[in-house]
Amino acid sequence: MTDLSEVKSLTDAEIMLKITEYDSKALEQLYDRYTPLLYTLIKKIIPEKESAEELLSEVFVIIWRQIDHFDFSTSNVYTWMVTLARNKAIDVKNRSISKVTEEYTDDYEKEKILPKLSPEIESVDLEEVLGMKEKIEGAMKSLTDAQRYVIELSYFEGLDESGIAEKLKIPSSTVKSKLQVAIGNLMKKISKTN
Amino acid sequence: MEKKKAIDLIKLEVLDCLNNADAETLSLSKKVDSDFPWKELGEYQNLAAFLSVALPLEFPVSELKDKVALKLYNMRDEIKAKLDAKRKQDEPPVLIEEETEIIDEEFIVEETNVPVIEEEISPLSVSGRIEQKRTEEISAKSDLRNKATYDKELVEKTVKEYFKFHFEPELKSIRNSMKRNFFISLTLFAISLILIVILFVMG
Repeated sequence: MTDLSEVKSLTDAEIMLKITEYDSKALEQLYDRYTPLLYTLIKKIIPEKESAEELLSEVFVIIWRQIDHFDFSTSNVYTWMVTLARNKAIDVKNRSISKVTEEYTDDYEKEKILPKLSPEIESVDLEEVLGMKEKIEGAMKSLTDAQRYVIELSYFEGLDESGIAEKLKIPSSTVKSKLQVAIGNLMKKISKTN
Repeated sequence: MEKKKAIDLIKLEVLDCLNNADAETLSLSKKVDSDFPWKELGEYQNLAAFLSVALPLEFPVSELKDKVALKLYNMRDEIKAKLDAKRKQDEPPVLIEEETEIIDEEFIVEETNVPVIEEEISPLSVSGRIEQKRTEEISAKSDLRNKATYDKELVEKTVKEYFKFHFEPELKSIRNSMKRNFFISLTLFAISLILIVILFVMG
């Protein structure tokens, strides 16, 4: 079993490696590092406090159970964790309104909840991303209100193309182009500042 | 598919906003296009994950950590099974082969029912071999038992250490406060006793 002080000095990827050996202190360290961010994200999607907490605990159970599916060749812990939490939260939200009725099985979890990251994704960890917080906030502020809103509706509210079209009373094709422009602009801003 | 078209679909995919037709097109392109923009897909996946950083941070209750620990504790059988499977994968299959050979030999002796000349295989040597096989079987069984015990102990140790880490400081503080309370009660009792004696003497 790893010592807690030893675990604290490890990188996110090294912690994930320890979790493959079911090292509970490593998982605890991952919990301490990522809980504020993941809880914030989950609560944005599921505002009810107790449900959000329950969901966060389920996310860590999934990590513990499905750690073998983490891609150590790219070792992008940050994006894997955030995407996993977001997928799980959106799934719970969609089930609560009967938008998803498929049985939740191990295969379903692997297919729909576990992130499928690009094999060429650049590795980022939490510390690195937190260091970019101001840049990211600045890039978000640089978008128009409409652009920010469509991103929010899709990413945080989990609305699909037709859902957004219906909500905003605009054609689906317009939703598509608005989302593409918004995320494209965001990418330009963040790349420029980097 | 053109790179630009693929990137346009990637932008929608990372926001989880692809319609079924576009999702199929993109999925096919990932499978067949040798020049699929994987790097750009990674960049946009990272970008989508960055969105959460712009939200004002919120924190769950501190008890949630114990709740997670409890959930993991309840998963100990599942983890044990995974550890067993992992161990079996890592083990060289030599032991199993040896055992199969011995069983085959014995099977032949029993099945063929050919009259055997006592000089060729004496009852002593057959029983000796059976005895040897039994000893090996017992030793193999005991090895397996040891492994199972080891795995069980490993899981229990993991969980116990986790719990120890969480609850030990709390227990320590409770014990300390009990000690303190005991001494305070004792002191108060002594003071009351002295006061009663003084009152009795004065009266």
